[in-house]
Amino acid sequence: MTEARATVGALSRETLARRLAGDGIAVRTGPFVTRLRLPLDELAASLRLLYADFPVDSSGFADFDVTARRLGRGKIEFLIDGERRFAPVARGIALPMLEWAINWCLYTFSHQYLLIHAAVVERKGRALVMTGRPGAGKSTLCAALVGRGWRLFSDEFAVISPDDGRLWPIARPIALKNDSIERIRRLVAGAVLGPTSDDTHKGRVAHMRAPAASVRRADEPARAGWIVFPNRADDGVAALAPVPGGRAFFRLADNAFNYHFHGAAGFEAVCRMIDACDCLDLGYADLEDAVAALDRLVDGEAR
Amino acid sequence: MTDPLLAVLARAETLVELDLPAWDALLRRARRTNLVARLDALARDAGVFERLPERVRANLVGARVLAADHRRMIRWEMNRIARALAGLDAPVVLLKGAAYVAAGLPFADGRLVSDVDILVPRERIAEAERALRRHGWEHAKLDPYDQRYYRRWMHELPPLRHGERETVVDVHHTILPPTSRLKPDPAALIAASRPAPVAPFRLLAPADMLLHAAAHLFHDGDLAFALRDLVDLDGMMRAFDRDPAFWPGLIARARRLDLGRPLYYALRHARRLLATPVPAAVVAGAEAFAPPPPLGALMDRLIPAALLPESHARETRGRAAARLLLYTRSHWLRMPPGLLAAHLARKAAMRHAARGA
Amino acid sequence: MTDRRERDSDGEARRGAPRPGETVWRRPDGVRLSWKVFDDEIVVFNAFSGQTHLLDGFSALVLEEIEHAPASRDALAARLAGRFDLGDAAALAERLDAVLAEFDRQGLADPTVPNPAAP
Repeated sequence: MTEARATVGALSRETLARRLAGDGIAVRTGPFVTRLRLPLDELAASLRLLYADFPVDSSGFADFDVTARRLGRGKIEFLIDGERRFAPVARGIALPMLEWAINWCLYTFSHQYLLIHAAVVERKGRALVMTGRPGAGKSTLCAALVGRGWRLFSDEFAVISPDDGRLWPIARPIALKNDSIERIRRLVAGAVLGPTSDDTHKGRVAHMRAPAASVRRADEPARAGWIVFPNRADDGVAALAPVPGGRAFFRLADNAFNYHFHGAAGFEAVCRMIDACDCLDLGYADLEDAVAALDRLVDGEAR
Repeated sequence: MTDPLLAVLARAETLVELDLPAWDALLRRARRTNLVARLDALARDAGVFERLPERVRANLVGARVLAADHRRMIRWEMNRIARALAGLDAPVVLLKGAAYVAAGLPFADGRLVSDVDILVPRERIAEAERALRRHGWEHAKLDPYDQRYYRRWMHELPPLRHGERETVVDVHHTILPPTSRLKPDPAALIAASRPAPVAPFRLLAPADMLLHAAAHLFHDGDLAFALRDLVDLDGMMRAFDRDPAFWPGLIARARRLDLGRPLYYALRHARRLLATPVPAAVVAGAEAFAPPPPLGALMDRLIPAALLPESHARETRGRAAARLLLYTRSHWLRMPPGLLAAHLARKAAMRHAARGA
Repeated sequence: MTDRRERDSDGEARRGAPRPGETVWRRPDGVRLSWKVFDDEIVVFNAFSGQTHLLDGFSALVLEEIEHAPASRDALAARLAGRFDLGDAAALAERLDAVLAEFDRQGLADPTVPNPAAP
């Protein structure tokens, strides 16, 4: 793991742009290689910034194949495997759309894994899986924890081998929305954020680059130690409370993209995860308070 | 054959010869036409799966998981439909994908099946509909035009969707619309049907199953998964080859059911594109069903063009045009031309509206 | 299996043999269940339907009994009353009916009317 790897950032601006406009660049993000053809200057620049540390794959085989195409009147579209799958969008939201298209590939074509909609970070060799209702601040918590030194697995997916329960990192940029963008910029010293896109269907979106250390270790899996269901409140001290197994089971399964496809193997995998983890509700109002509570949890102090 | 996808479909053992760049090209094309799980099944059947690159195997397994669950879902649906129709004193014949799964046909492995199609005698269709609705199936919400289109011009009720499971059962009383030029006799199909391994359903006789699939691909259907349908036809011919009664009776049966032309196209294009083995006597016999030369030449160009997914990038205008011509032809074969124009205009308007401003 | 419960159950089955035309509840053909017990909640997965169910204690007991051996509603009531103290018979029967109806809808149990000619 110490040999020099060709990374996106090691390519010159010109080379990157040329290849993105031509045969494409294949980027390895954990278990997945994505070929990108992005003949748009601003996307090339964003890629260079946000994916600088990711290895370029030269095997010729990609798991996902994403092409951006300019249409008339300020619109672009993304092709998957050379095929139209989505409606065109305004060029101004090309970056969040690209991230979304790659996510789409992941949950459409990766059923060899159990995929749960969750933010996943790792410390002390165990993964912390945050899942639950949308709007609970998972991505923001994820970014804050990563800013505190936790290893980033993903802000969007828990990628789990159903046979042995190992989670796999992806370490792609963390998508932050609206107020969270400023909050993370203030909270995380040295945070590298890409451009902000206005007018997405979720409001303003910007992406925080993963720390180089997380990207370098993107081929190191971990087992889950904690399943946390965050809930934002208006006030109050951050508090963790245990969630009974049956309830945790259904929350986890409900947040899975493909639990239903895995049949009995999926059922067994989720049962084992629940058994192996502490399942907890996290009620919080203040972001730093929540981070501190999770730090204490993993350090083994009183909840 | 020079086309790499067709080559591996015809000879799966050649999959081990592909390097990673070749696999990449193949995967893109297979994804476009929903054949990844089929490649996985072919690789396993040929005993070469373990020799494929690990990263390729991961993608094949991904498709396998989905296909396996589809098979499970279809079997469960058949179980539930059988329960609902338990009191119906009439034969219920499985058609299309569900039939292939129920029959355990080898090529059904790796196929994504989403709906259950059944054929019942016309005079029992209202009763079947009532029984299904009593057990939780509902008519999909269709506007009045589509309702009329289905009931009057098509060969089926509007699809029935289960309220909770959201799965679909299509109840047919013929296999082609009453408005079609070709008129295969449903009573003959039902009379020749046999009990399915999944009670209490029945399956079409092998020749009839092939002829129905041929009619679906070359006479109606919407060509979105045309290559998959041709793969099914190839699979059926290879599977039924073992049945000594299959080939000898096929030509006469096609004539009896008025499905000679679709059989001709099925034999011709399966042989040309997938190297399907067909006895010379059958090929010769099918010549009686051949189209007049100008149409034949046109179809010889259109059908392969429409069936083969481009290796990358957007569809050329040529392929898109081929597909559109075939779509128009399919609809012409179903509906009298005056109605067709009105129907197509309406569908275009709806697509436009759905896409938004 | 030769545990006591099975022998008791055989005896009960003979005692609680279904009357002609009485509905007998059984596991649907092809259904395979996986069970996971969490504290007071039980999760059951049906590999055939692909559905996952959260059962309370009572429902789990009923399902377990049916898994063990097919039975009519009354036989189930007798078995359960014999194993546990579950309140008065009428309330038990009503609750059983509700649970069985739900199992019917969910594909966990099928109501069948046995062929009188069958053993």
